[in-house]
Order: sequence, then structure tokens, then C-alpha cells
Amino acid sequence: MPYCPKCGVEVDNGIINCPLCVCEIPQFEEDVVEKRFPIPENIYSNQIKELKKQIFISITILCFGGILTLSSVHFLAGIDSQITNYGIIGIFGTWFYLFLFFGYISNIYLTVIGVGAVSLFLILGIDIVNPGVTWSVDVGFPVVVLFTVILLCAIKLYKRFKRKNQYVIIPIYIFTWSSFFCLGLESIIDYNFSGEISLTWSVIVLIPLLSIAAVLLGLYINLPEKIRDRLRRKFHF
Amino acid sequence: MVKKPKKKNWYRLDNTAKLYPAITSTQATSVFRLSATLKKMVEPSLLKKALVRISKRFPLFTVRLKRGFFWYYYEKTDIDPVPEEEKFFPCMFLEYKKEGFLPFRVLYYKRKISLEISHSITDGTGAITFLKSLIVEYFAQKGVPCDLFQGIVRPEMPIEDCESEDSFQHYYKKGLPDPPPLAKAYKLNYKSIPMGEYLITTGIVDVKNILAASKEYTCTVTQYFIAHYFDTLQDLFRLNSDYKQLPVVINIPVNLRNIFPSKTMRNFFAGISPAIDFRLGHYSFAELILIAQNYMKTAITEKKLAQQISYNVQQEKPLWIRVVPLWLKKQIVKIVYRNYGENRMTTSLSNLGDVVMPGEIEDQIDRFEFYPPPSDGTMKKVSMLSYRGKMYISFGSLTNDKTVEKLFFRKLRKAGFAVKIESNGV
Ligand SMILES: [Zn+2]
Repeated sequence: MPYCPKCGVEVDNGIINCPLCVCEIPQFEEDVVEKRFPIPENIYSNQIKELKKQIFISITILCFGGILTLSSVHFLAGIDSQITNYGIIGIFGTWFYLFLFFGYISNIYLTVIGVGAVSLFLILGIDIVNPGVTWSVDVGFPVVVLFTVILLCAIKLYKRFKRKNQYVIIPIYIFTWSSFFCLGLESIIDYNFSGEISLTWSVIVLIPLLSIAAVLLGLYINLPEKIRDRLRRKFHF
Repeated sequence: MVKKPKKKNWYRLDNTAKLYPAITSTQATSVFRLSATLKKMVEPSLLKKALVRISKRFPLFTVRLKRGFFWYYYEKTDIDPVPEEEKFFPCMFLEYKKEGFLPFRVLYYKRKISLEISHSITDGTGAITFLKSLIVEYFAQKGVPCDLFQGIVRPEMPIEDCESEDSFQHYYKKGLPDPPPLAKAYKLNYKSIPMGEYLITTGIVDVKNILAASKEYTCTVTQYFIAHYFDTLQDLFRLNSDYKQLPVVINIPVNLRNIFPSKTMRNFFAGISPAIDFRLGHYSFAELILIAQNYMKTAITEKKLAQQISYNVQQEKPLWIRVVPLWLKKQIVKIVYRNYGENRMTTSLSNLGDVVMPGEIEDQIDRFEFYPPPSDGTMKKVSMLSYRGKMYISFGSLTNDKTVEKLFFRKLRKAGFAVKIESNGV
């Protein structure tokens, strides 16, 4: 049976650190011993889930009530105003957004795509209701698609190159991807209003953001271990 | 036509039980665990049958806590308890105020059956009777019946009135003087772990070695461990010189059924509180044994304990206390408990003694264990029992700091005992 060299107490086979002093236990036997405890879950994370569910159900009922009221105003009272139409579209959109933000779709990519789809629906809805608004297809769609695609790429890359020290990596990510987004945004707007692309402000944004990101990255990679450690200590969250 | 007398389907909380609903929180759950590890895997379907059968014989436990206007009370329910697979940390909160929940749960994991029960229902003695009876019934379901055995209740045995007796009221004597007040105690100041977690560290030693050592000092096993725990806290006291230096007080629950002839399944214990002031200097182990021995000898007497019972019961007697509405009473109890209960103890040590099972099945049970209820006021408590020559000493901790456990078990090791350590560590 294995022993802790510091405490002198016996421990179960397969225990890596002494339960008393966290000292490493020398391993020499290979018998696997049956576990005495399950890997414990925290009972309260389940309760939070339950609470979330209750909140969401209340919200759903509220939304349903709202839509019902607005529809009856619209169809029964015959009041066809933009306000009721906006209301219905808005409530639908809000419900879908909350559904996504509450994390009911566990896949993060699907959630992001969902947020994009709901935004498209909202923009389109506004366009249909108000004949005065015409920018949804030309500007709204490309912007939403661009944003969604960039976010998807960012998440994908972030997951792939996940590092422990997120206090440096996260700002680098935000800076890099938001500068790309600005670039795309200005292109879309320019193209729609003047028919050609001549970039101005997005380049001004892009240069400092990318340089900060580059400096941070360079510093982080080249920093001596001692300074990096101090950074980690000071800014960990 | 003669009306059948309607059976009472509610009962008052006993004197100690009244305290628990007020001081129970999601972290300090007042739930303790007794578990039995078998030699073979637990069969959940048999366990379920056994549990339903045996719980019918313990109507005091199949109840739901309800609010009265002045006091809480227990109402009988018809819910059948269902064993669940263990997946959370031990001794978690029991939602026994809610509909459909019982004040206890039975869990299984591989070869282990655990009973987690709220202190507002019963104490260690009531709980171990329930668990032992459940295990015997489980084996009966498996086709290994046992003969009648001391301390085991069979489903077919008639329910006796004395089991539901509120022994505190029964042995309460009016007019006894109050015991002297306790001083404020040295506290363990640790950062607590997140809500929903509870850390257990169990040390296993041979009873015969402990008995031999106790014999050397002509003391009992409990007295030996009290002295040992004091010695551990003495080391800690010197280590943490920045803590507020106050006397170290160990609260020890005493099973009053050993002193008063009660057969109740409800709470019937009283806490005694040996204290040592380490500001006075270093105490040798022989001195600590002497203090523990003398204290226990004088505190565990019928007179002293009757005084304790009477003092506790007297607190709830005056009319002006009884007519305070429950919600206000709850707040008052909370404040009083914090200042006069929790603040007057450093930690607690509970020894349930030797667990004996019928000869037909004792070979099929590997061990018993006893985990104390989590306490945010003391951070750490220790409880122990023995089964077939092994002593299982379990620390329950609401902090990641294991200095107390380390000092305690290293000290045992130094005293020459072989110690095996296990934990639910994550
Ligand atoms: Zn160790």
C-alpha cells in the first residue's frame, strides 16, 4: 500500500497527492482500487438551472400574453398600426434572443448563428412593416452576416489556440477581430452609398488596434518568465 | 355509534430540534451522514424495497416540516422514500420544508449505502438505528434473514409509544438552577469553500491500538481522542498566533439515553464543553488526558445533565417566548445561537461508539462511517465510530485548509498508530 512520505499515513492505491499535505505519493503498485466517492457535483448548479428554467417559463408566458394582446388589438379591434406590428416582431425577437442567451443551445457556434438569424429576422421585419425603411437587404444583411462570420472564426480560433493566460489573449482577440469587423463594415456602407469602396476611418481604427494587439502578443511571447508570472499574478481573474 | 379516535398525524419538535430549522442554511445544513460499505455492490431495486418497508416502521422520520403560527411542527406524509445514486458532496441541504421531500435521504454508490438525515428529526443514535435496520432489511430482501438483535428494528415489530417520546420534556425538572455560562471560545478563521461543497477527510486506525494506549493512561477511547484533539488545537494555537487568543472549547454531544432510561428515536443528547486556555502555557499530553478525564467524569453525571436539560427546556417555557410569532422567533434564535452557542465552541467531536451488526451479516459489511454536519460557525467538526476493530475518524470541513486534519493525523502517527487516510477530495 502506498504511503505519504511526509505524513507517514497510508493512502489508497492510485491516489496521486496526499489528502493531508498534498505531497506527491510515490506510485509503485498498479492495482486499480475502486473509487470510494463519485466525482461530486455541486448541488447548487442544478438549482440554478432550475431557477433559470422557471424564469424562462415566466418570460415565455409574458411574451405569449403580449403577443396575444397585440394580435387582438390588431385583428379584433382592427387597429392596424405600425406600433402593434413592431411590438409583435420585437417580442418574438426578444424571446428568441433570451432563449439563445440562456444557453439552451449548448453548441456555441449554433448559438452565434442563431443570434445572427434572429437579428436578420428583426431587420427584415422592420423593413416589411415600415415601407420607408429599405436598407435591410443592402446594408443590414451583409453587416449581420459579416459580424456572425467574424465571431464564429474568432471563437473557432480561440478554442483551437486556447491558452491559460486569458488576460493577454482576450484583449488581443478583441482588438484583432474588431478591427477586421470595422474594415468589413465600412466596405459595406461605402459600397451601398457611393457604389465604390474607399476606406478611411476603418483604417484609422485598424492601425492602432492591430499594433496594440501585436505589441501585446510580442511582449507576451518574449517576456521573461519572471515578468510574465508577475503579470499573471497581478491581473488574474 | 362510537367515533374512532383519530390518530394524531402531527407532532411538536423536541427541544433541540426546535433550534435546527432556525439555524439551518444552505451551507450549514444540519444534515449528517451515516454510511455502510458492503462487500458486494448495492442492488438499488432491493434497497428500494427495503427502504420502503423499513420507513413504514419509522413514522417519525416520514414527515414534513410545516410552519405553525408560533412553532414549526412535523406533519406525517405518505411519501415513500426512494434511494438515489450518490452524485453530490456529502451532507447537502435537505428541502424538507417543501412538498414531496423528506427530512432524510438514502444514497447508494457502488458498495456504499448512505443515510443523510436532518438533525431536527433525530440524533446519531436514532440515525444509526435506522441505518442498521435498513441494512438488515436489505439483507433480508436478498435472502439472508437475521434473528432479532439488540438495536435493530424489524418492520413487523410493533411501534412503541416510548419511541416517539420527547425525552427532554419527560426528564425536565422544574426549578433547577442555571448552569454557569460558557466563555467565548477560540475560533478557526478560514476562508470557506463555495456553497454546495463539503470536504471529508477520514482516518482509519486499529481500535486495539487505541484501546491499548487508552489503557496506558487509564482513560476511555473518547477521553483519549478529546485529549488528542486538544493537543492538535494546542499546536494550531501556537501556529496561528495572530488569531484572537481565547480558550479552546470542544463541544461533545453526549447520548442521554445512556444516563436516562429513554428509548426515544428523536433527539436526546446534550452538549458538554471541556475548555482549555492555552494562553496559560504548554500542556503535556498527560495533563490533557487528566483534564479530559476529570471533565467527562464530572460532566456526564445524572445531576449535571439534568441541569443542562432543564436549562434548555426552560428557555422555551415562558409564555412570552411561546407567543412570539414564528418568523420573529426564528430571527431571535439565530442571533442567540450565534452568540451563545456557536461562539462558545471552537469545534466539536462526536463519538458514536462501536457499531455491532448481527452475526449473520456482519461479514458482508466492510465498514461504517459517520460524517458530521457542515458548520460555518466552526468550519470543522470531527465525528467517529468503530466497526469490527477499526475506528473511522471523519473530519468534515468547509475550508480547503487542512492544517487541523494534518496535525491531528500526523500526531496520531507520531504516537505510534498506523493511520490510513481517505478523502472525497477534488
Ligand atoms: Zn501527507
